[in-house]
Amino acid sequence: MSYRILVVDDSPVARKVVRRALGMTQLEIAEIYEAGSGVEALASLRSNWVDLVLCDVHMPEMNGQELVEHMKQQDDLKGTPVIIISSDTTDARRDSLLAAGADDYLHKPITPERLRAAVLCLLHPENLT
Amino acid sequence: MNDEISLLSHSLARAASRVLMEGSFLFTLEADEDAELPAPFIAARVQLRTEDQPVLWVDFSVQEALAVEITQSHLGETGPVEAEDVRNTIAELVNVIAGAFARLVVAPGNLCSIGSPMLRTEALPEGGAGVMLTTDNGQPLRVWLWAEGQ
Repeated sequence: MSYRILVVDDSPVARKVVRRALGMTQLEIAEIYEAGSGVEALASLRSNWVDLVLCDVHMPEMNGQELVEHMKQQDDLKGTPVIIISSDTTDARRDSLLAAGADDYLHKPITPERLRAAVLCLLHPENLT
Repeated sequence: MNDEISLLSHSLARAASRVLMEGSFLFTLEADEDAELPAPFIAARVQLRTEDQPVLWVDFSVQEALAVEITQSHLGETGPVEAEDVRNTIAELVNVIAGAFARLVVAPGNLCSIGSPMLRTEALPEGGAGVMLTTDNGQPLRVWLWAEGQ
């Protein structure tokens, strides 16, 4: 199974770091799309089939929480899992995002190991080893 | 207030050390607070708003050569990296350091807001406090903290 993943972060370097981490997870990746804000992410989601969204929290235009809330209100998007990847390590922020509908919450800096476990847990829990 | 900022700056140094170890495999030690950070260096700052602290600014400064090494580590590059990537990496790092710092100082249950990181070209403001760190191979870097309006 290969995955199509949307990486959402306003920092180009952060997107590169996530791309690199995905490349080191040994997961089969069919396509990685990128967006610099929640608004760009929604546009990408409307034109591409995506298995998973990896999303930052603090972004201009539409932040990560607003994107999650918007996705969960849309019938065609609410089934797409979202993993938040954020520098904000407070429990309150994590709880807030999970309550809004995010499926998991990872702290930056991410590691390929934690990313792989989170992706498999959501998309293929039977393969989680 | 200055004593409090000085104490908080050591929490900031711990947060920076943890982030650098996890993300860049750099081990750091706290160095003499009066030590200088020789030019040229790259600095970035970010605003941190919490429910239980004054508005704080977190600053991270690193010598250019070390900034290049950190960028190579983050991007998995062994060759030259673009100057823009180096600047963006340091800006991203101050963001991550501020987030790790928030976990140490924000009361459980309280939210914080981390602004957009920006490169700093102006001098550090008076009234803040900082900690010099050195990597295990002796390269200096500095974290600095100040309260807005102080």
